[in-house]
Amino acid sequence: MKLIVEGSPHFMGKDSTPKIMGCVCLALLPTVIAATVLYGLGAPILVLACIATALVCEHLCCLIQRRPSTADDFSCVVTAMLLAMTLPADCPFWIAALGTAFAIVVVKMLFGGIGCNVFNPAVAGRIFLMVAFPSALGSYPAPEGTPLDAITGATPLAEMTAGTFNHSYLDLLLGNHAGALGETCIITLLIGYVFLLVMRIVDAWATLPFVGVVAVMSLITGNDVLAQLLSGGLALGAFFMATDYTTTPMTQTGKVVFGVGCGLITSFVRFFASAPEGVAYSILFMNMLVPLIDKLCAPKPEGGVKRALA
Amino acid sequence: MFSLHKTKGGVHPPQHKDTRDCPVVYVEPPQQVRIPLNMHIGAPCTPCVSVGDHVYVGTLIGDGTGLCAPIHASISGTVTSVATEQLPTGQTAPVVEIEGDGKMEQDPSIVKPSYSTKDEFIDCVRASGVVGLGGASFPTWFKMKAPEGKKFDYLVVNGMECEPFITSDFRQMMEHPGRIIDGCSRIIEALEIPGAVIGIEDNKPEAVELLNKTIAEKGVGDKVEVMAVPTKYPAGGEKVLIMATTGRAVPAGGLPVDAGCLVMNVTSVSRVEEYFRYGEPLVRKTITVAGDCVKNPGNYRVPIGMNVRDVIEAAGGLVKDPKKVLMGGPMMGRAISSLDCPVLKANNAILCWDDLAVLPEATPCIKCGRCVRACPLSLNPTGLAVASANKNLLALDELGVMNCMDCGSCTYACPAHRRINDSIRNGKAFYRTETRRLADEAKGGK
Repeated sequence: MKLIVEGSPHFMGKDSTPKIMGCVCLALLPTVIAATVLYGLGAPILVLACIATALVCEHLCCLIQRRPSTADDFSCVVTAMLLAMTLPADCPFWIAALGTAFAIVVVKMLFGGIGCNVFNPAVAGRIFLMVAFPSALGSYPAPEGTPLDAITGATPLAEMTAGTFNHSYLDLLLGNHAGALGETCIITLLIGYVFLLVMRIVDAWATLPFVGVVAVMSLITGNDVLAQLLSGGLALGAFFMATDYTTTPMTQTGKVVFGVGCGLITSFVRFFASAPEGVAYSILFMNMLVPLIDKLCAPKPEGGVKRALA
Repeated sequence: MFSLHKTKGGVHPPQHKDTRDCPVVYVEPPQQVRIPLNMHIGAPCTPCVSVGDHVYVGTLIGDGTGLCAPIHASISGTVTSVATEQLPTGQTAPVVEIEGDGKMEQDPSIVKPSYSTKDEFIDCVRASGVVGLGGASFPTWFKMKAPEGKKFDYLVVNGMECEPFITSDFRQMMEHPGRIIDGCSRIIEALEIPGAVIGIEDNKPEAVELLNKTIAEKGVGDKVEVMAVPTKYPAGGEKVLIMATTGRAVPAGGLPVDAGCLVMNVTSVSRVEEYFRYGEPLVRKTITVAGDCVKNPGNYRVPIGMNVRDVIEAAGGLVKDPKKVLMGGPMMGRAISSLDCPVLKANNAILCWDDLAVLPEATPCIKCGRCVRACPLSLNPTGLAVASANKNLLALDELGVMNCMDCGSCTYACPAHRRINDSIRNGKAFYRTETRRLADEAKGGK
């Protein structure tokens, strides 16, 4: 009889990385469906194209780096879905694929793969595309069914900057306006986020301060608070990107700091800079500070620490 | 006198307490026992019998000086070997082998102990051979001696039994509540401790009720209290229990006495009381035998030093070959390499697993922070694991690697199934050798 000998504990929890990532994909699904309804079949096809690119890139990188493939843990699918959701539904496939490849190869795998990346790959990929292809990502298709002369339109935030904003809160909530395919329908994003909260996969320690600070800053600067909260990438960013494990702090205080920082930068860009939207920049910038935040907000050991070296 | 305090972290593993309604069964004495002489924290005992000696149940077979607890023969018979062996637990120790005569005669020199002073009481506890029976195996008499300038404000009795599967402490509480309450009264009286609290996880309401009833019957309610503590692993960890019952934190590198607490397992209290009542030292242990490979899972009272194979045989034998056998619970127990392993004083379970034996492979850390939130001592497990892997002495020192009590909550909580506390154990060993080396070098330099 040969017995297994290994260190304790001999029990492990039922959660696993693929299960967590699978749940996040599931949580994003309602929004993809909403995008299909709003912007047509181009939306889900774009999402699938990004997923396929991500899987191929992740698998190839692991082959080249000679380590077990992590393509089957669904983390690259999450990245691909998030990136696709920040793109206009009529974005050319090759641009979307290039952005996904950049996100996976440069931002994720070159930094060491899952768990080692400093920046949120989806956010970094989106910013890369915004810088490289400003015209392709500068115009957004309007929802299907709008009059023909409005096939593309400005996003609500751009309209606010230009002073031509006229949408009802209901339109904003349902995503019935021009915008990135996965950013507009707030109601499905919220459903997905609540699902993740209930599954105890994410928490609200970063999300609430993020949204709260943007609300307070809109109030102070005299903007329409509700319209600000329901527009742009705030919901997608605060629900799904500021809750990413690897690129946000680990402790609750750290997460609050992260959320407040994101909220402040988003508000600054929205209200004082010339760009209409700042969610992506704010997350990318705060990603950089995570090691510092983790160090400053480290848990305090119960009973103190008895140092032998100091 | 006591109120419940909030504790941090913790996890909720499945409980599997299927043997809770299995009364303790005395097993037939085995043909042979092998008693290791290192069944406690501290220096191993020196054998004081030699091959050919006749021993009775309770005859002293090993003792030592300093941090040490005496060890007694658990069956009557003849000593057949005294030698240093490697045990299937991985430890090496002097082992006394006794071939039984089947009579189980008690040593005629055993008398009921008596004491009049605190020091005499502690000497009696020492002579009983009792160590921390919850698993820590710290000599009980040693922790009863409060160092100069320190005193005990509370006796904290640990009836939590937060490890899955194990029910031996629960059975002790259900079958001998009087001994536990009398033991508490005796200990706090002898050591001049103001009060005692018995912490029990709230998944054992029968035990809470029974002990409360016993306290009322004996009229010691002003001194001894029972507290139901929310079920959470590791609520029965010494430091966590002190926090829950008294709200005090044991300072890093310190002992419970530094927080004014004497912590004892319920079974230890019961054994101490039994020693004062009947004079028989610690020679038997109640073991929960469970797992899907055991025919009759249950609680068995076995002589210390009995072979695990014989204990399993007494529990009806195996229905299939186990892939893993644990001494202790799933969270902190030790996987043994062979069934030819003696039962130790602090063992409280033997688990034979087939279905639960194989654990998932580890995948890369995703920095989810669940280990940080699961740590009951507010350490940073993933940081410690990285520092251990990198042999980063300064980081290990900063993060308080020696605070870790090895409860395994971090590994349990990890969705990437990383063996976090395996790494931390390595880190501790590295830290211990390196700091000792540095201290020696500093001394040599002077």
